Amino acid sequence: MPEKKCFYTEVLIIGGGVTGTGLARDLALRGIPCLVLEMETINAGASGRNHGLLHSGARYVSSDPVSARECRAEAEILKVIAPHCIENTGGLYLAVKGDDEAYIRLFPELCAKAGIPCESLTVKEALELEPALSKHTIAAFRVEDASVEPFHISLENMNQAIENGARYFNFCRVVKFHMAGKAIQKVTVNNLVTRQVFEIEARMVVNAAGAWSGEIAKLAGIHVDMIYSKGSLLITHSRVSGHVLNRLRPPSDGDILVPGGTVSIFGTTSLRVDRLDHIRPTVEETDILVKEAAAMVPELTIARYIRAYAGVRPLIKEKDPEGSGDDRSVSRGFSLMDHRLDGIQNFITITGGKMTTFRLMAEKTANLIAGRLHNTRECLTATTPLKSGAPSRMTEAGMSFRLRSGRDETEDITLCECEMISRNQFKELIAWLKKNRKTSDLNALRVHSRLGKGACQGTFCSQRVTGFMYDEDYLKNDEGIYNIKDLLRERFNGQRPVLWDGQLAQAELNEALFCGFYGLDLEKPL
Amino acid sequence: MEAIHKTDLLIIGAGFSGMSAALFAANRNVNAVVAGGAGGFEYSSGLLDLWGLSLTQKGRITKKPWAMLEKLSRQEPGHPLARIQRKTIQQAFSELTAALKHQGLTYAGYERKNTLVMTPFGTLRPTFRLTPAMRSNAEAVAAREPCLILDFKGLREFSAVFVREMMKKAWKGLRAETLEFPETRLQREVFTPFLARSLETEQVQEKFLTLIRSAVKDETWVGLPAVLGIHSSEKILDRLQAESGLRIFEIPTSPVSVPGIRLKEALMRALDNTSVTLFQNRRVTEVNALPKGGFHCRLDSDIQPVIVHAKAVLLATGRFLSRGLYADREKVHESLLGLPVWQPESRDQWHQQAYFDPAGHRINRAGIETDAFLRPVGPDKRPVHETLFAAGTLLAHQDWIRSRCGSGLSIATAFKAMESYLQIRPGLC
Ligand SMILES: Cc1cc2nc3c(=O)[nH]c(=O)nc-3n(C[C@H](O)[C@H](O)[C@H](O)COP(=O)(O)OP(=O)(O)OC[C@H]3O[C@@H](n4cnc5c(N)ncnc54)[C@H](O)[C@@H]3O)c2cc1C
Ligand SMILES: Cc1cc2nc3c(=O)[nH]c(=O)nc-3n(C[C@H](O)[C@H](O)[C@H](O)COP(=O)(O)OP(=O)(O)OC[C@H]3O[C@@H](n4cnc5c(N)ncnc54)[C@H](O)[C@@H]3O)c2cc1C
Repeated sequence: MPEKKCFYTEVLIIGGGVTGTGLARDLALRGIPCLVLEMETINAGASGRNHGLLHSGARYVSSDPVSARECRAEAEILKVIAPHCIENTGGLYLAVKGDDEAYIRLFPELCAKAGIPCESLTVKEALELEPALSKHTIAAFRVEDASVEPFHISLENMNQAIENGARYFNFCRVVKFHMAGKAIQKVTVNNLVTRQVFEIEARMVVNAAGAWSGEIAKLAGIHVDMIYSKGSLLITHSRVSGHVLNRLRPPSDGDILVPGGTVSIFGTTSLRVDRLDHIRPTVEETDILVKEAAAMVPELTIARYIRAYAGVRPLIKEKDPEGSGDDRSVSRGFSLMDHRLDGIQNFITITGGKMTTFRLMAEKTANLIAGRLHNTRECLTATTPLKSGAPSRMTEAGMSFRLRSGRDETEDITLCECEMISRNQFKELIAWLKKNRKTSDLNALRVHSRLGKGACQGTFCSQRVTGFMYDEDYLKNDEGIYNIKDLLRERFNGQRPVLWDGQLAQAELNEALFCGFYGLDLEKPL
Repeated sequence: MEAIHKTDLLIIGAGFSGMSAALFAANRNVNAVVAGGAGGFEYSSGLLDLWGLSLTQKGRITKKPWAMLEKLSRQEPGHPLARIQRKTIQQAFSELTAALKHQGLTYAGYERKNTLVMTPFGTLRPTFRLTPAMRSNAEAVAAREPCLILDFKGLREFSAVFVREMMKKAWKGLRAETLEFPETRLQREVFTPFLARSLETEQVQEKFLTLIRSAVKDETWVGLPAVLGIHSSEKILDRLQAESGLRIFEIPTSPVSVPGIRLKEALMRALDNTSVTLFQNRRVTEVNALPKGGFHCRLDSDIQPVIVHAKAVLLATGRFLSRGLYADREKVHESLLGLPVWQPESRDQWHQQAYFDPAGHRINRAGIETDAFLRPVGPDKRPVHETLFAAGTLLAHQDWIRSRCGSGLSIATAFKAMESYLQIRPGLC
């Protein structure tokens, strides 16, 4: 946490999503000092609330062949530089009885035209690969989709940037720009935890605030026309398929199932919203998804879902007279805006795009910045392994346990049973957080590991980990219960729409324990 | 061949309400069978709550359960506890605590007041009846004299430092220490029921005493997670206190909870050699009402199923966690007989938007509606069956979690159901 009143950096990046952190990595590798400001924590926005699909490009072959090509190229690069963040699952495109046959016939052609590898399978082959598929499957193609762990990518981005001289402040919200002539002279920032206000001077200011880019641009008096498209997703209790499964039809509700570690993620919906606060998945959206799910994978109608979440797609409105009205057909390509055109010399906005193309977005943005700062070093991000020395692998589902095998565990015990995270693993993570991030609360642990993300959704692990943090002197006074309350509040937003059957029983136990027994529902639990 | 068992009353569910009902049946020499899992006990703190939530100040607890119940009967006349007279609730508690005392568990407390007990989060929770080791807990909190809080190596559910940090502002002489529980050197993890059972032996008690003595400095009080024995917990407490000269108290822990096991086992012992037969851990899979009255019921078993012919049935199967109620995406159902369930209109109304909303989640008030005799009723408000009763947390129009009335609700409704059964019984076959 910064205590000074004023800071200086060459490049100030607003937003700690995959775009902002990716840009920080790029700049740092070129030797350009930068500072990332994030109003919450890494990936609090769309980057932590997406499907986790590393697009092969196939999804965009009909609507946006340029994006399709970009996806393919970027996915190939990421598979080489960040194999540890990616599960190379492969993907299937599937049509079921009743789906548009013309679209099915056209698909391989469109893929070929856009240069996206696509192999035709027989239905029998597809069913052998994925037994959970519907018996009504009528066509199947194999593509090069993969599953990616978004937290892991962004954490590695930021960690590698920090190792190369970048800085990062979280819970710091940009609230004001001070203009001096044709440039942003200073930026006012609120620390949302300490309530301190401070200022940052920078030669360049980059707006990488995702869906909030419009709001940030407004601070400089610039109007960026954004569309907010909310998408909700469901997480299953256990993994349903080996491959990414895509419904072979023009993009619609509930047509992608992405496996990741021990779970699968199903989505999405697309709902136009006007505001960015209180973005939550609803009961209605959950029901739409569960109903849609049956067509491709029948068992999804009876599967246990452990939570739901929603993100907002930052889409830039383009002047497109043929817009079909479905926000999914708005271009997924990114927008890099040099606001010199709007009369502000040192301000850039980079938004839109996809997680899959974040590196490319960062490269283009960094090229622009480097030119301005007369830095002639090349972009190294496509060839430098995306790997830092930080313990961020624990964000992957099922990974903690695998990382434990072969270690000496005589003195260790498991604190989180759903995700098999041990005391020593938490200890390492806390020590690292303390040293490098100056924070060590439960929420930070959640961001940097799978704590609270398994079937119990925090019922058992949160008490144990809090107790452990007290034992290790990482928590003081009554911080612990406020930490737990925050975690429970946050987890509940995602649980609320999926509380039926097994998860409802789990929620009952949770409430009996945390409210009935510990009294955390009371105004003053002490 | 299926074994056939005939009985007057089948109690389904061996949680707190089912076991209380079984005890009341035994005391009245009713020929009964109780079948089911012990569910809630292992979760329960072992504190017997009557009512702990203030109805006058939002988000506060109350020390006056009876005053609140009176208010409740005006505010929420449909609440199961509002429909039972104070005298009946008192009787239910006295009869139950008398039986528990007989089994070596002395539950006591104030006539009118709740007692405040410290939890492992250092928070205070109101309760009505409690064991001596928990009463000392409350006394220690009130006295705030120098006190040592202990936890044990390898025990994940309890941290003494957590308690100290939470309470240290108002309690200066609080110290925390971690000890290695006797004979657990080779164990990476230890569990409270295991520690409690091992403390039942004199040898471990001996070592434990030495351990405590060496840990204490100038403290007069020692608090520790609830592990002081299972069957002879009070004797163990007496001995440890007498030989150490210290005041020792227990702090209830999160599941699996030793005080809950003590309670369950005491109630089970109380049924030995009585008119009540216990089929433990058997699930009832079918209940069919017979046209001539009475029920034909099937109990699951690994070896062979048991058929029970019962003249009356008391449903004490609990809520979602115990699977007495079941919810799909559309609706809440009663699992065994498909009884009508009172519930909010749609799933979107089941939960508030905010987890800690003081209004509580509406799903928690879903459940079985009954007549004054605690017989489940249909939409016409008439009993579904002449001799079918319901008790415990599966009843509608209550939120036992938020109002801290779990045990009270279970004991009182079990008692009331038993009274009703006896009133209606003469008319049976
Ligand atoms: C439902 C859904 C599914 C998706 N699925 C996929 C997919 O499968 N594959 C794929 O490649 N892409 C997917 N995407 C797209 C992808 O998630 C986004 O393109 C990408 O995450 C955008 O990253 P970003 O860093 O630009 O924005 P964000 O991740 O939104 O980051 C912006 C950050 O700025 C911060 N911020 C905002 N205002 C301020 C301020 N005033 N001060 C400080 N910080 C501020 C926010 O807290 C936020 O963390 C999906 C998107 C959605 C919504
Ligand atoms: C985390 C937690 C903390 C608690 N703490 C306290 C506390 O501090 N103070 C307090 O007073 N109370 C506490 N309670 C306990 C609460 O008092 C009891 O759970 C409640 O009183 C028990 O009500 P019940 O008997 O109706 O239901 P349950 O305890 O849920 O019992 C129902 C039983 O029925 C069985 N069953 C269900 N279906 C069938 C079937 N088909 N066939 C056979 N058996 C069946 C289940 O297995 C279960 O054992 C706590 C409970 C929990 C979960």
